[in-house]
Amino acid sequence: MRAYIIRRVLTLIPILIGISLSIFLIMQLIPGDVVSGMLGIEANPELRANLEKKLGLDRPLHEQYLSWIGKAIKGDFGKSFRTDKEIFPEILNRFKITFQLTIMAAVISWLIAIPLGIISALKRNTIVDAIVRFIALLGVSVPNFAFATLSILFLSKVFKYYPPVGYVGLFADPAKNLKIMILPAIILGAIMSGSIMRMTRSSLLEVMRQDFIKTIRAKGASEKLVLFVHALKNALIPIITLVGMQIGSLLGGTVVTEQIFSIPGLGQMVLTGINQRDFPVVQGSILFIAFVYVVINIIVDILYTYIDPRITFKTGR
Amino acid sequence: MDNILEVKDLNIDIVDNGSIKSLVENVSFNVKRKGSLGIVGESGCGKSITALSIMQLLSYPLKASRGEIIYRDGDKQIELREANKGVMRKIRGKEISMIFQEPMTALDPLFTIEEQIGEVLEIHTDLRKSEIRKLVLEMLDKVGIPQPERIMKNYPHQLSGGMLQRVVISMALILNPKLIIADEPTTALDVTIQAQILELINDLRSSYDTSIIMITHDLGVIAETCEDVIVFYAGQIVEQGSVIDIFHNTAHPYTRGLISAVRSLGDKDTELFTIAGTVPLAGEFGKGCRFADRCSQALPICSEREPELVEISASHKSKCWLYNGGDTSD
Amino acid sequence: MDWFKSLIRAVLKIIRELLKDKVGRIGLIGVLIVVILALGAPLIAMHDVTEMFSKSKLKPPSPEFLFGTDDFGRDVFSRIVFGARISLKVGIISVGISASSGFILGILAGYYEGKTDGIIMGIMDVLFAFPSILLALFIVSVLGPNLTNTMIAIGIVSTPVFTRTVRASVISVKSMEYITSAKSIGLSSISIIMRHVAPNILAPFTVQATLALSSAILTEASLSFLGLGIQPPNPSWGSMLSESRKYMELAPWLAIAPSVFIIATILSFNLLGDSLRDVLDPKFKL
Repeated sequence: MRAYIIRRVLTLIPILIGISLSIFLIMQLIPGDVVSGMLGIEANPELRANLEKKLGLDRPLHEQYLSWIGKAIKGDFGKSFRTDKEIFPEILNRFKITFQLTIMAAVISWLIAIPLGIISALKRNTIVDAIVRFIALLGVSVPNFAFATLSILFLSKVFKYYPPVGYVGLFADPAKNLKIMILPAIILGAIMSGSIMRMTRSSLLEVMRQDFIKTIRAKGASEKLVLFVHALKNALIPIITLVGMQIGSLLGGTVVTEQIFSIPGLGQMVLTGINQRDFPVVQGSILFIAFVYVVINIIVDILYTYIDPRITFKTGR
Repeated sequence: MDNILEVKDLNIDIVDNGSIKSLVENVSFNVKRKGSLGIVGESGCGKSITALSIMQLLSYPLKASRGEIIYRDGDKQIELREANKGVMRKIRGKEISMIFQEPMTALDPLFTIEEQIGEVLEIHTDLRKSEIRKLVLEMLDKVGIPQPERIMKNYPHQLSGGMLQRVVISMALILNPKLIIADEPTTALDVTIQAQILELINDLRSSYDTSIIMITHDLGVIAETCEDVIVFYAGQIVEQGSVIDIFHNTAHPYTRGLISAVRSLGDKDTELFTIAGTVPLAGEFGKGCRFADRCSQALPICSEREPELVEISASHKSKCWLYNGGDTSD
Repeated sequence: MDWFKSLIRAVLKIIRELLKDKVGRIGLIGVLIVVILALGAPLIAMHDVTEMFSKSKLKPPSPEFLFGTDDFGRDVFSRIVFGARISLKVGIISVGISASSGFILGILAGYYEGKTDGIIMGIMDVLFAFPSILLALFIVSVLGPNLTNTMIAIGIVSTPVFTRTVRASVISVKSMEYITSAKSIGLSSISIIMRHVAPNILAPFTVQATLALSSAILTEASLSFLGLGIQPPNPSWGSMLSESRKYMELAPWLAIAPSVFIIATILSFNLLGDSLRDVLDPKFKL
């Protein structure tokens, strides 16, 4: 068991190298060069040389990469071109906000999706099933920005409700904070629930067809026991995989949602960085988000081993 | 000797693309107290679903549509085909248990052996965890599992087919049911293990005084374990009687074919005997005997009128114009 | 020529099966409508997409401006219709890119295995390690936001899915008995693989391609919404929706029209993909 966990955590290293390398290489594709972008094409050559040296751009590529990643591991993501402030502390601050949004959205999506998925499976091929499947389809087909915009439109026109602007920290003012975060969390969560609903339904149906379900019934078990103890636990395995992937979509979704609701999270940082051509910010924030996603997936994998005893006994899953 | 189970005119249908087809037709048989009934037939003949219907374990699109299944225990008598779920739940695992064919998929992969056997006790009794544990250990020992304390903590994927089947047997017998239904319990196992498991079932049966319904396509198993036999073909009983009647006074060409096939396996000099043709599918039966087009002794009447299942001696019935004793002339 | 005829026959059969299923029918019709809008845009649109009717800014729907006008006085209906063209174009080309690169990479990884496989799948794993919209955003922002780069970005992001399918199929085909027997008669491995892999993957590929299309359209809309995809004044449903936010009080139709079309298009492709999956591999139907 522990060997498996250690193995999984060790895979972090090659993946991190891969991610950081790709980010670094993609950044090299930027047309024109950074310095011209900052100083203008006709800048004084001496000024250019100085800036280049300051940014470390005069060194060979692989040195630049190693220097960047070496510092990043220690928590030094460099400074923003715009504000000249340290990037990493800013990332951490904003991550707290994005993390809160992501968790709220995830929990909301599970609360909606899993019960509905179960009902849909149990009442298969009835009207209820059709309705749930339709809702799930909408979740998969409606982009979060469309849902967000339409919701705001609807709420303002019909209920005269305008989402509060002006972010406030969770610990500073919990009530106000939740009022601000609740709508974007519901919107993100509702969209996410679509695919989880479908997966819950199909996974549960698949499990219920298995032989061992018949054995459990033959023992005299009530349907509640069959469903909630045995069937659900078995069905959970593919659902958890999906949830892992969902977190990725959620993290991506926060970029749009934070923009629409003016929430100062990590997603907004990426966007602002891109719009302002602030490359260290872009590099750093994307690296961090990708890192978080990978870590969460590893946690999900480890979670598996607590549910499915078959996993640890296979070498090289 | 009284009966523990009486099945009368059982019919099982399947809903297929909107139409209802009959899979098992007017099947009647009894299982004696402490007796053993073998149900033999090819795959798809309806024997497994008959067994499932006794436990009310058929699910859509299958349905036991007509007939009575009566379970007798002393004075009490319960009809099982239409019994409500609460009644069935009290019976399953406690009065009537089932052993399935595929031990490798019969158990929940996410729970230990101890948890799954113990579950039967949790469902039906109020025993404490420690008592349950003790009983589980005893049972595992009785079914011949070595090192039961260790095995108990294992998960299904860690055990072999033979061991798993022993676990399934212990789950079925731990509450000392009056009737076990064993659906091809040895088919999925290696030949060497098969004999062990059959012996185990027989031993346990006699020490617990349990009746058994043994479903199999293997006549050898029938010969070794059963007192009474029913032969199924295409959803109908074509012959039924004691094991002596069936083997020594065979009264149906199909049964004879099955016996010849087994005999030819053992005898190196004769050609392998097979029954030509295949089993007709539900809904595609003609108007005569369902075996007629494969029968080497078919008479003209066989394709015209379906024979009745008639008694040809006290314990022996046959559904065939050749043995009918009735008017075979057209 | 024969295989072409049987291909056509197979396609027609699939379409017939799709039409039998309620879900498939809606999906197919929806997709067809979008295709017609896209292809027939110049004929269907009532005005030029960049023409600004300065006297008719922010007007509600009317017979002349079916979906109203925006803040520049442009006809929303015509922009929506041409937006269909852009969405479909981005979708098809980016899926084309990802499907073909996925196919090639998958064959290479599966056939050669070893180091080649390790490198290729390693790259795919890295691509997969990013949340997809983030990766697309990143690539587009680096290359410069325009139509072509949007297509490239989405194409790159969708490649891993196709690579995995093809690779899995190649590996399973390689291990099959008839390959060794065919080899013993002297057929070249590559041609064996191609002949057996291609029909094997056709079904899942088609389903994946349809779903990848819907995902591509969604991603393009998201990118354009953020201002990093199709740039104005080109009409993209995403950017139209983004611009509409400023005028929600005054002109709600500006938000509704692109939303409805985005949702309906993505929905249609999803329905089509789901239905295709059921038709091509019935055992998945639950």
